[in-house]
Amino acid sequence: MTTRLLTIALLAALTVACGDNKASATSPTSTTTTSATTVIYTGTIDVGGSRFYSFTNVAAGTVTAFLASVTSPDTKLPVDVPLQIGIGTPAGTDCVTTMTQIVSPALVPQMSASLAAGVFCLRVADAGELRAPVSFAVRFSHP
Amino acid sequence: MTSDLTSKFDTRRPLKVTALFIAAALAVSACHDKNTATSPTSTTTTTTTTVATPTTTELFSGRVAVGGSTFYAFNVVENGTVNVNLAAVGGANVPSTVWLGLGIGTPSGEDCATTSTTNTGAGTAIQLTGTYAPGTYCVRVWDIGNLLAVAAFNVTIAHP
Repeated sequence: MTTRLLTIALLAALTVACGDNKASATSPTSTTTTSATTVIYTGTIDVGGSRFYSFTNVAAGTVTAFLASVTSPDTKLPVDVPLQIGIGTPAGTDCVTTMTQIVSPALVPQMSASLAAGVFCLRVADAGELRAPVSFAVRFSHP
Repeated sequence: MTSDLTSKFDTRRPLKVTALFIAAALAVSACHDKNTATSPTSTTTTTTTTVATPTTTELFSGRVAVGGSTFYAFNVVENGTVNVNLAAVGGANVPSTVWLGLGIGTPSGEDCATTSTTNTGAGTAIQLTGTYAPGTYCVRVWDIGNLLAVAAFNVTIAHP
């Protein structure tokens, strides 16, 4: 009887001792979350013109953009004309786009792209329908 | 008969207990061995970074207004040397000896955020150089306050 009790006690002690090792071996995993940066890019585009804005993704992630407004620089009133927005890489004196879209102002994401970490650019251009310069506002977010 | 059984019982029990303790000691020792086996070992790592020489030369021809600036973006494909040279400056009412600002940096917003700059006149020697990791960079040219008219310029950018 004494031997059985001793056996049980020793096995219990061993289980606890070895169990402690297992617990210390499973260290917690760390998760890095990169918060998004939101940019409101404003400017004026001439007929047939374009402009671009460079930004740096600090980590891989999703870039979303939408054309928030198009207005007359003189009257400040909304102008009903679509513009081309695009995402690409600065090269030379321009932004070489890999994705473009012709859009009218809307307060919902109109363009989304999964990009690596690095330097990219957002380009706004006349889609061929401008008859006079316009002011624009593009809102985009990136990692 | 009874005395025989008692005798056997009395002599075997200490043996069982001893065997049990030895087994337990070995098991505990094995557990401790695991701990010592997972202790960190010191490792010396030597990292050698290769610096590549320029393999591509790009010509940045542009114009800079009075008080203005302009920039040109380029891509470095491997860690290496970037050399920049203001080769020529000219234009109406712009002496070819006029000095301009010259810089290397990263495209940021609608400009080039420079990390290395110099003020220089046109020449044949390399005026800006540095080692850069793979990525997108830019060369910026600007009026440092000397221009009285729009200047045309040529800048060469040699990079890996």
